[in-house]
Amino acid sequence: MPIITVEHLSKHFKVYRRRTGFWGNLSSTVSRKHDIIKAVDDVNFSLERGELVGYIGANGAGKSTTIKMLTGILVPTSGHIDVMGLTPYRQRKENTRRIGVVFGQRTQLWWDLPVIDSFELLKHIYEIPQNLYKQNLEFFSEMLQLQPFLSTPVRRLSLGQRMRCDLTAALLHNPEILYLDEPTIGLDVVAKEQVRQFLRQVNAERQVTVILTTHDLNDVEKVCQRLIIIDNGKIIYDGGIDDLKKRYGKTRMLIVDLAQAYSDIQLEGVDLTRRDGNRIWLAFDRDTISASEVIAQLTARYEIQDLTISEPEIEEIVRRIYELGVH
Amino acid sequence: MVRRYIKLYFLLAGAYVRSRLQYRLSFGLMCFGIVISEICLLGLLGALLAKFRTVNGWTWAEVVFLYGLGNLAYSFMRILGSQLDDFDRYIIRGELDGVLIKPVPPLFYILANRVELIHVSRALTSVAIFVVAFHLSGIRWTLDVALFTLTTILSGTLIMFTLMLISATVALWTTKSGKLTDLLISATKEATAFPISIYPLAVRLLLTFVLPVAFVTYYPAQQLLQKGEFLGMPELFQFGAPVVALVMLCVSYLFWCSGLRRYHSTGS
Ligand SMILES: Nc1ncnc2c1ncn2[C@@H]1O[C@H](COP(=O)(O)OP(=O)(O)OP(=O)(O)O)[C@@H](O)[C@H]1O
Ligand SMILES: [Mg+2]
Repeated sequence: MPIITVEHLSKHFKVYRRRTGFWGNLSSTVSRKHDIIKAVDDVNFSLERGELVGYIGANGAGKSTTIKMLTGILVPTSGHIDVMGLTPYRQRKENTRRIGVVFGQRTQLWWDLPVIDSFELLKHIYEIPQNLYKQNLEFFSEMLQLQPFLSTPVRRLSLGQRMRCDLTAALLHNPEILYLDEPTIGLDVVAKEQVRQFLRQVNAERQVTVILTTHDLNDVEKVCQRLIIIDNGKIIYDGGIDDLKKRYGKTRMLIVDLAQAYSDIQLEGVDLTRRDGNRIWLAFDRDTISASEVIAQLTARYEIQDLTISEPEIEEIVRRIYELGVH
Repeated sequence: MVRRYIKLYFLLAGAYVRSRLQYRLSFGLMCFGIVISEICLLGLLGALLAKFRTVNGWTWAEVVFLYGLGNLAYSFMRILGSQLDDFDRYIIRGELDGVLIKPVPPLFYILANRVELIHVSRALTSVAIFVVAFHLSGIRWTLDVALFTLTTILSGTLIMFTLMLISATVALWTTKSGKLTDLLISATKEATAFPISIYPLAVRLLLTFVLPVAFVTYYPAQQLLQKGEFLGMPELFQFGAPVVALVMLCVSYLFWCSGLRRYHSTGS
């Protein structure tokens, strides 16, 4: 039994040609002149309990919109969502008790109050029994080292500290699913690592199902077992990360330092993906052309100072998928 | 269940008050300002009435009573519903997202979340004004009168609140509603202060059937002051306030719910 099932899910936004001011807004609402944006377009997937899934896509691909429908914030234009047997926007209250949500861009904590006050308020809002609350608070403050700033007002926390508090806030009521929309945005390397470590642990020890969106593919590589890629509202990849590498990682990258900046570079069976001064990046498919053939071509035509061949990085694979689509 | 919500209301309201506590001086000044302006308004009304003696056959004591009653409903409504004043910011900034992921009714959460204490100072002033107005009006104080007055105040508060809720909900379609809310609220407050007999028929119908603020003061006052001035409307209207309040509550809540389903959040 999947914990989340999404079938033919779509969300279309009507975007009215903007006019300013109240009457402008009203008249453009009434006049119904609009464009339709298919933010999410016929999306299907399902998640098993305990999965840890990365949901990625370029800016505006539809990640946040999907999360908002899953959490019950937005009503879908069409399609079905089943989360633990509930339809999130219809059974919103029951659904919210069983999920945790973190928006990396916006804190859910009380801005001017000490961190601990927010936790206390959430205890009442979610009706968390006192002993469970104490137990969880201890668990999370130990794991995320919250103790030093529990009585600091949220507005004075650093981004990393705030994110740790937001994670705690989302998990105090023992949710079965945790939705994270860009939980590592703006964090430094160490803080990011801490968040990743935390998510792995929460997933492993508490069997929390986790969906996270991100632009940092290290998050995905280090945290997730499964990857869903959305592009222009449509899912273009859904599967394991190793599979992705196997399927799309046939491309090797040859990084070459030329002796001079040649104005046009022409090679067969090779893509020039980047150039920076004398350095060029050449992508080629190892099934159609071998590295030695590429190098032979190069040395025949240009003067070379140095070269390295790199294994495909997930980052590079995904960048190519964003740019060129799947094939 | 009810206890849980009452407790939650005070916890959330308390949290907001505590976060505002650091601006103690401006809080004090604002309370002071509100009290002064309330008294000035009443003084102005008194001076005007003293000059004309009667308004359309209403003595000045009766008009002051009307004003006091309307003002009381208004000030209670402000405590209950002022959080809807700038409801559009929940939409413009997508803050409604955070409300919708909590296991409480969104409207309850919004109403509980940003209760401004300064409105309490206005309410206290209004109570004082009403007590004086009640005394001046010469109404005999019996249990029936007391119950009727309380019901009237409660219904009036709810009627004004529902108008506030409806105008705030408009923001779910138009994104902005702040100005509409301000306009509607000040207009309704003015409309409760005078007998509606001073207005032309069209306005009277509007204030009875569309924005039913005539049920906040005018019709109940017919009963309390024994005026018997119905302007061709059924006499039953003097007892109509609770019914109107209930109907308005249902209508505005349904409108609110349909608005929520329209909520589009923001594109990050
Ligand atoms: N409330 C809205 N009204 C109109 N259009 C919207 C709204 N929310 C999102 N969109 C549009 O829908 C598309 C998907 O947006 P969404 O926020 O889901 O993207 P995203 O994948 O989260 O992007 P990002 O990585 O930038 O956060 C975008 O084209 C966006 O402009
Ligand atoms: Mg987003």
